[in-house]
Amino acid sequence: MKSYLKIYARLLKMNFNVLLAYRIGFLNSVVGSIGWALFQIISIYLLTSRNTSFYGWSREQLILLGAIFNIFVGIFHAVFSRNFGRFSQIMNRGEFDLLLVKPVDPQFLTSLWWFSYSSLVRILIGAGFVVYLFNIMHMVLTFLSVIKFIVLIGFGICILYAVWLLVCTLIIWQTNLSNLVDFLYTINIVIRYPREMFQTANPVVFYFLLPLTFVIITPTKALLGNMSYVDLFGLIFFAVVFLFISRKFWNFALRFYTSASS
Amino acid sequence: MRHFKIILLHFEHIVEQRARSFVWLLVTAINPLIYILFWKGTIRGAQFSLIVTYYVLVTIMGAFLMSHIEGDIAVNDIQYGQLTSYLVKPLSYYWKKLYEELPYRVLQGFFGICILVMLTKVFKLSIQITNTPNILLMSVCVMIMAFFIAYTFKAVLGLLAFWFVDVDGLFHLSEIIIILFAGYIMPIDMMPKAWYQAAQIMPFSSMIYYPIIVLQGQLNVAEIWSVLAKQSFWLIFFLIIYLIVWQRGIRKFTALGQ
Repeated sequence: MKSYLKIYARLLKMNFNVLLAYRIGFLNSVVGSIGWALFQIISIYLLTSRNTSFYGWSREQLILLGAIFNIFVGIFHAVFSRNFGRFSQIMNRGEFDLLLVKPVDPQFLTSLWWFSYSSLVRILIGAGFVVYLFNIMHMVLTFLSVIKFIVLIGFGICILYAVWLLVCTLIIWQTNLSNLVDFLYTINIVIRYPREMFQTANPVVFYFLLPLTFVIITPTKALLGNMSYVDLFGLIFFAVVFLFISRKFWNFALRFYTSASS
Repeated sequence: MRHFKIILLHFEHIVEQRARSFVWLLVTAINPLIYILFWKGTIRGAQFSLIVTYYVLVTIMGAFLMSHIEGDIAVNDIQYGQLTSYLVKPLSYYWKKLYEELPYRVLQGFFGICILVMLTKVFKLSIQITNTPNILLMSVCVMIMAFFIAYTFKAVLGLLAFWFVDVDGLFHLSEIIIILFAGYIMPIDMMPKAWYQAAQIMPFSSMIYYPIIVLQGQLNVAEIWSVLAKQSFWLIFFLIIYLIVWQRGIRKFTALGQ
């Protein structure tokens, strides 16, 4: 574990050096991150412009959900998304060989090699909106609720990471499906809507999406002080189960990896 | 005939990668389906049916009409230098890229129609589309114009890579603006007044929103003519910009290789 932390610290340093080398590229990514962060808030603002309440959530609470989505996605994009984005490339070009021969877990290297510093901006924007909305709603952020929130966000990230890993592992068989990651970016959007909304859908669709509905709803409810045991245990249950399944599936899929060269 | 053969050749290539096209369609379809669920909680009756039709058509129009050529132009052609091979061909770059893009739109549009049929049958959704022949014909014209506006706009965006090394941020911003103002989130007439007025001024509503409401039969013939006039203006505008950007950009282009 200690050696892995050491490796990750090195990777973070390497990524920071890349950032310094390509400063314009970094600024460009920051612009994109700011744009998408504001988009999440604006889109909810527009959707809720004709009504004040949706599925038992007030307009402010839904915008709060959008702000928390920004924090969550900011962390996820910073740590994982870019790595999943290059999955297809490393599988397709046989670059995965280089990771397999290293004395480190290949899942660790493929998932954590790149770190996107520009996505951290999104966390700041999201946090700013959360504080602002709490002021508007005349609510107080306590130290305990923030700690609970951070821990639960950690479980949420486990669920989303596992889902992304499960889907991206399919690339080992279909190496040209690079756009599966774009599909996952789109699926991410599911997590920023209330669970009650998906209950109105077809039951098959609802149960398929159910794990994702815990990802940020539970931390948000913890902040708002109305989290139930179902929310809490649902989140922990899906995090543990999905991490386990995705790890097993990854190891199973590795048996089918064929290098691109001889 | 020569042009048709070129399109067919590209179509063969796209069909080889049909799984990728299907994933792209899913990407386009997910958001509208989520928005339908969102509105389900607040709108009832005939208005809900209209909204469902709108979002289903957003999926199909998004697949059929919205070009995604900018990344290919910026990265593959300009940054990696593949533009060289187009310059020696006896066909303009604009049309050659259009022939490459067209099969993608046709295949994804076809998948979109399959999804439309599936949704209407399985979920018993009622889709309201005009049955007046002349409006149907005019809606085809509006769609063709919308495709050309979107294609030319995206081509101009891609060509900006002549001047900028990293255009990702610009692409992200343009995507956000298109999603907001083309009518992907909601019909623009349901937006707050200021947003509606802004969307009317910009060209993006001509790419998705107007083709949909014309097909839904929400506009009369006179209104459709004014939509076509507006689309013509934007198409000519983007074509002029395209020509300027191309002529100036090509002077900056250098490529290496044997």
